[in-house]
Amino acid sequence: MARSKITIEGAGEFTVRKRKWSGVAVQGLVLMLFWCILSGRYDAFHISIGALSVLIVSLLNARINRLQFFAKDVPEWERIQYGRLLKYIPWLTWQIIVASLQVAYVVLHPRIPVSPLVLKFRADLPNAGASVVLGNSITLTPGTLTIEVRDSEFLVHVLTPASSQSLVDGTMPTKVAKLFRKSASNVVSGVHVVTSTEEL
Amino acid sequence: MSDLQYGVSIAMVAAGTFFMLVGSIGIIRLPDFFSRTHAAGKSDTLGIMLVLGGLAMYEGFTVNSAKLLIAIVLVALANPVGMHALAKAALRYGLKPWMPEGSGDNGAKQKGGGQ
Repeated sequence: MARSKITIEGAGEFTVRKRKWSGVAVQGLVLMLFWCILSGRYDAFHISIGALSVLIVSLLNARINRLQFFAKDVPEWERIQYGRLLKYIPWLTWQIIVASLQVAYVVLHPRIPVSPLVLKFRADLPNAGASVVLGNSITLTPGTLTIEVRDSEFLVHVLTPASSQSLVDGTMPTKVAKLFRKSASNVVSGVHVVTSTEEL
Repeated sequence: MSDLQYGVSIAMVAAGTFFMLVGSIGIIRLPDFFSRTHAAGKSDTLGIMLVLGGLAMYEGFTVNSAKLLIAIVLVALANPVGMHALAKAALRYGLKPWMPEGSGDNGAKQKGGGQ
């Protein structure tokens, strides 16, 4: 029962993981908190309706969450280090502010000083969750936009060459890898600037 | 409500509006689809976050500001995913990014049209 396969019509075959009731409980608590914030009423009637909804949703989700949708979608995702995430989020927020100021400068400049290029690189990340975090972070930071992620290969559109610095020297991908691993050296390799459109 | 809270919320909403405006101008002024996505996505993300943050600041420590904070988190997660989906779909469709020092025929092929 630990790892069986299930076939879903029209979607393919998925691995089914072992059910973890602690995960279901945490999800239920988060949903209940969400309900309380959105409803803003704390009498017995509204709380009990909320608890009933949370119960139904948690039980439905408990079945879906057992499916493994990607090859690298391992429960390692649960091993994200929340302490490091707390340091990462303010850093990312600052990067978003810098990004927006930079875009504002480029857009409002009379000559629009852009010279876009496309960058290809490999990043050795531990799991699919890390790829999602890195992809989103790239999109939000100065002048870079994730176009495609194939396995561990990232295709990134860069607005101005100077803005790709933190990707090329691996600052950000390494930070993301450290969210999931104890230690990480430079995870970026094979940086390659796509110069002709035929390569895409 | 203290004057400081009032002032900070006004400043945040004003800055947010500025970034939204920049995003809109960028969509018109930048040369091709991919660079326009930069303007649409990044500036708007910060713009919406600032406006909602300013409103939460105005509201103070209430349930309503908690709702606004949830909306901020949602925007911060959903916007980059949307930008990525747009860019990926454009590339799949065959739209090539414009490159100034490219082979010279890029400008004419902006309409895309399969690979």
